Amino acid sequence: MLWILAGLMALILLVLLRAIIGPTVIDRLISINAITSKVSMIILLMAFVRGEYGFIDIAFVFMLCAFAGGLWILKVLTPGDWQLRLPGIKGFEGDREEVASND
Amino acid sequence: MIKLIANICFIGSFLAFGLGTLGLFRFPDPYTRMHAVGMGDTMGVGLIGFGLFLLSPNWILRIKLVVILFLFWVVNPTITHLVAKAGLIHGIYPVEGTRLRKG
Repeated sequence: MLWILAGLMALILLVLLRAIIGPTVIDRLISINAITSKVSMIILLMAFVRGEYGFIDIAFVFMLCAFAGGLWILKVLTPGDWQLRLPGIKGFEGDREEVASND
Repeated sequence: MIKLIANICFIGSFLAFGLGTLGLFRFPDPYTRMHAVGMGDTMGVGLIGFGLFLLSPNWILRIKLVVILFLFWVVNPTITHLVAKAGLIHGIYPVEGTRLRKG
Protein backbone atom coordinates (compact mmCIF):
# COMPACT_ATOMS: atom_id res chain seq x y z
CA MET A 1 0.00 0.00 0.00
CA LEU A 2 3.04 2.25 0.13
CA TRP A 3 3.36 2.48 -3.65
CA ILE A 4 0.17 4.45 -4.02
CA LEU A 5 1.47 6.96 -1.48
CA ALA A 6 4.55 7.48 -3.67
CA GLY A 7 2.37 7.66 -6.79
CA LEU A 8 0.09 10.28 -5.29
CA MET A 9 3.11 12.34 -4.23
CA ALA A 10 4.46 12.23 -7.81
CA LEU A 11 1.04 13.30 -9.11
CA ILE A 12 1.05 16.17 -6.60
CA LEU A 13 4.36 17.36 -8.08
CA LEU A 14 2.89 17.25 -11.60
CA VAL A 15 -0.23 19.17 -10.56
CA LEU A 16 2.01 21.71 -8.79
CA LEU A 17 3.79 22.23 -12.12
CA ARG A 18 0.44 23.16 -13.67
CA ALA A 19 -0.21 25.49 -10.73
CA ILE A 20 3.09 27.23 -11.42
CA ILE A 21 2.80 27.57 -15.21
CA GLY A 22 -0.97 28.04 -15.31
CA PRO A 23 -1.81 31.03 -17.48
CA THR A 24 -5.02 32.01 -15.70
CA VAL A 25 -6.08 32.17 -12.07
CA ILE A 26 -8.66 29.42 -12.62
CA ASP A 27 -5.91 26.95 -13.47
CA ARG A 28 -4.24 27.70 -10.18
CA LEU A 29 -7.50 27.30 -8.28
CA ILE A 30 -8.32 23.91 -9.79
CA SER A 31 -4.73 22.79 -9.23
CA ILE A 32 -5.00 23.71 -5.56
CA ASN A 33 -8.27 21.79 -5.33
CA ALA A 34 -6.67 18.71 -6.90
CA ILE A 35 -3.69 18.97 -4.54
CA THR A 36 -5.91 19.19 -1.46
CA SER A 37 -7.97 16.17 -2.50
CA LYS A 38 -4.79 14.15 -3.10
CA VAL A 39 -3.29 15.24 0.24
CA SER A 40 -6.52 14.25 1.99
CA MET A 41 -6.32 10.80 0.41
CA ILE A 42 -2.66 10.52 1.47
CA ILE A 43 -3.62 11.25 5.08
CA LEU A 44 -6.43 8.70 4.85
CA LEU A 45 -4.06 6.02 3.52
CA MET A 46 -1.46 6.93 6.14
CA ALA A 47 -4.00 6.17 8.86
CA PHE A 48 -4.32 2.61 7.58
CA VAL A 49 -0.59 2.13 6.91
CA ARG A 50 0.50 3.23 10.38
CA GLY A 51 -2.49 1.80 12.23
CA GLU A 52 -3.31 5.13 13.87
CA TYR A 53 -6.94 5.54 13.00
CA GLY A 54 -7.24 9.05 14.42
CA PHE A 55 -5.82 10.33 11.15
CA ILE A 56 -9.24 9.78 9.54
CA ASP A 57 -10.63 12.71 11.50
CA ILE A 58 -7.64 14.79 10.43
CA ALA A 59 -8.37 14.02 6.78
CA PHE A 60 -12.00 15.01 7.34
CA VAL A 61 -11.07 18.36 8.89
CA PHE A 62 -8.45 18.99 6.19
CA MET A 63 -10.99 18.44 3.43
CA LEU A 64 -13.53 20.79 5.02
CA CYS A 65 -10.89 23.48 5.63
CA ALA A 66 -9.82 23.21 1.98
CA PHE A 67 -13.46 23.71 0.94
CA ALA A 68 -13.81 26.80 3.14
CA GLY A 69 -10.52 28.21 1.87
CA GLY A 70 -11.53 27.69 -1.75
CA LEU A 71 -14.81 29.47 -1.13
CA TRP A 72 -12.97 32.37 0.47
CA ILE A 73 -10.55 32.66 -2.47
CA LEU A 74 -13.51 32.72 -4.87
CA LYS A 75 -15.20 35.44 -2.84
CA VAL A 76 -12.05 37.57 -2.93
CA LEU A 77 -11.63 36.90 -6.66
CA THR A 78 -15.10 38.05 -7.70
CA PRO A 79 -16.30 40.90 -5.51
CA GLY A 80 -19.77 42.27 -5.99
CA ASP A 81 -22.80 40.44 -7.20
CA TRP A 82 -22.75 37.08 -8.89
CA GLN A 83 -24.26 38.15 -12.19
CA LEU A 84 -23.14 36.29 -15.24
CA ARG A 85 -21.77 38.91 -17.56
CA LEU A 86 -19.46 38.51 -20.49
CA PRO A 87 -19.80 41.52 -22.78
CA GLY A 88 -17.98 40.01 -25.76
CA ILE A 89 -19.90 36.77 -26.16
CA LYS A 90 -23.26 36.88 -27.87
CA GLY A 91 -26.22 35.48 -26.02
CA PHE A 92 -24.47 35.41 -22.67
CA GLU A 93 -25.38 38.76 -21.21
CA GLY A 94 -27.52 38.64 -18.12
CA ASP A 95 -31.01 39.95 -17.95
CA ARG A 96 -30.04 43.09 -16.07
CA GLU A 97 -27.37 44.98 -17.94
CA GLU A 98 -27.72 48.04 -15.75
CA VAL A 99 -26.31 46.09 -12.80
CA ALA A 100 -23.17 45.33 -14.76
CA SER A 101 -22.18 48.98 -14.97
CA ASN A 102 -22.01 49.48 -11.22
CA ASP A 103 -18.42 48.39 -10.84
CA MET B 1 -8.68 -12.19 -1.34
CA ILE B 2 -9.87 -8.99 0.30
CA LYS B 3 -6.37 -7.51 0.01
CA LEU B 4 -6.34 -8.40 -3.70
CA ILE B 5 -9.65 -6.60 -4.29
CA ALA B 6 -8.40 -3.60 -2.30
CA ASN B 7 -5.21 -3.46 -4.36
CA ILE B 8 -7.25 -3.57 -7.57
CA CYS B 9 -9.27 -0.64 -6.23
CA PHE B 10 -6.06 1.25 -5.45
CA ILE B 11 -4.72 0.62 -8.97
CA GLY B 12 -7.98 1.94 -10.42
CA SER B 13 -7.86 5.01 -8.23
CA PHE B 14 -4.29 5.72 -9.26
CA LEU B 15 -5.32 5.40 -12.91
CA ALA B 16 -8.19 7.84 -12.31
CA PHE B 17 -5.93 10.38 -10.59
CA GLY B 18 -3.30 9.98 -13.31
CA LEU B 19 -5.80 10.46 -16.12
CA GLY B 20 -7.09 13.58 -14.40
CA THR B 21 -3.55 14.93 -14.22
CA LEU B 22 -2.97 14.03 -17.87
CA GLY B 23 -6.10 15.93 -18.80
CA LEU B 24 -4.82 18.86 -16.75
CA PHE B 25 -1.86 19.05 -19.13
CA ARG B 26 -3.49 18.16 -22.45
CA PHE B 27 -6.67 20.21 -22.63
CA PRO B 28 -6.63 23.68 -24.20
CA ASP B 29 -8.95 25.53 -21.84
CA PRO B 30 -9.35 26.13 -18.07
CA TYR B 31 -12.92 24.85 -18.13
CA THR B 32 -12.10 21.58 -19.87
CA ARG B 33 -9.16 21.09 -17.51
CA MET B 34 -11.53 21.66 -14.63
CA HIS B 35 -13.87 19.00 -16.00
CA ALA B 36 -11.06 16.44 -16.32
CA VAL B 37 -9.74 17.08 -12.81
CA GLY B 38 -13.20 16.97 -11.26
CA MET B 39 -14.09 13.64 -12.83
CA GLY B 40 -10.71 12.06 -12.04
CA ASP B 41 -10.66 13.19 -8.43
CA THR B 42 -14.21 12.05 -7.73
CA MET B 43 -13.57 8.58 -9.21
CA GLY B 44 -10.19 8.20 -7.47
CA VAL B 45 -11.51 9.21 -4.07
CA GLY B 46 -14.44 6.81 -4.44
CA LEU B 47 -12.17 3.89 -5.31
CA ILE B 48 -9.69 4.62 -2.49
CA GLY B 49 -12.60 4.87 -0.07
CA PHE B 50 -13.98 1.52 -1.25
CA GLY B 51 -10.60 -0.16 -0.86
CA LEU B 52 -10.12 1.20 2.65
CA PHE B 53 -13.72 0.20 3.44
CA LEU B 54 -12.75 -3.38 2.65
CA LEU B 55 -9.56 -3.17 4.71
CA SER B 56 -10.96 -1.48 7.81
CA PRO B 57 -11.11 -3.62 10.97
CA ASN B 58 -14.29 -2.41 12.69
CA TRP B 59 -17.55 -0.68 11.88
CA ILE B 60 -16.82 2.75 13.35
CA LEU B 61 -14.07 3.30 10.80
CA ARG B 62 -16.37 2.14 8.01
CA ILE B 63 -19.03 4.62 9.05
CA LYS B 64 -16.41 7.39 9.16
CA LEU B 65 -15.19 6.44 5.68
CA VAL B 66 -18.74 6.52 4.29
CA VAL B 67 -19.28 9.96 5.81
CA ILE B 68 -16.02 11.24 4.28
CA LEU B 69 -16.94 9.86 0.86
CA PHE B 70 -20.43 11.34 0.97
CA LEU B 71 -19.11 14.76 1.97
CA PHE B 72 -16.44 14.65 -0.70
CA TRP B 73 -18.99 13.78 -3.35
CA VAL B 74 -21.06 16.76 -2.24
CA VAL B 75 -18.19 19.22 -1.87
CA ASN B 76 -16.09 18.53 -4.97
CA PRO B 77 -18.78 19.15 -7.67
CA THR B 78 -19.96 22.18 -5.70
CA ILE B 79 -16.58 23.82 -5.70
CA THR B 80 -15.98 22.90 -9.35
CA HIS B 81 -19.26 24.58 -10.28
CA LEU B 82 -18.39 27.68 -8.25
CA VAL B 83 -14.91 27.93 -9.77
CA ALA B 84 -16.38 27.74 -13.29
CA LYS B 85 -18.95 30.41 -12.48
CA ALA B 86 -16.30 32.64 -10.89
CA GLY B 87 -14.13 32.24 -13.97
CA LEU B 88 -16.97 33.33 -16.24
CA ILE B 89 -17.69 36.33 -14.01
CA HIS B 90 -14.01 37.19 -13.75
CA GLY B 91 -13.83 37.37 -17.54
CA ILE B 92 -11.79 34.34 -18.61
CA TYR B 93 -12.95 33.30 -22.05
CA PRO B 94 -13.41 29.72 -23.13
CA VAL B 95 -11.69 28.28 -26.18
CA GLU B 96 -12.80 29.25 -29.69
CA GLY B 97 -15.89 27.51 -30.95
CA THR B 98 -17.58 27.08 -27.58
CA ARG B 99 -21.33 27.50 -27.60
CA LEU B 100 -22.62 28.99 -24.36
CA ARG B 101 -26.12 29.14 -23.04
CA LYS B 102 -27.57 31.10 -20.21
CA GLY B 103 -28.48 29.38 -16.98
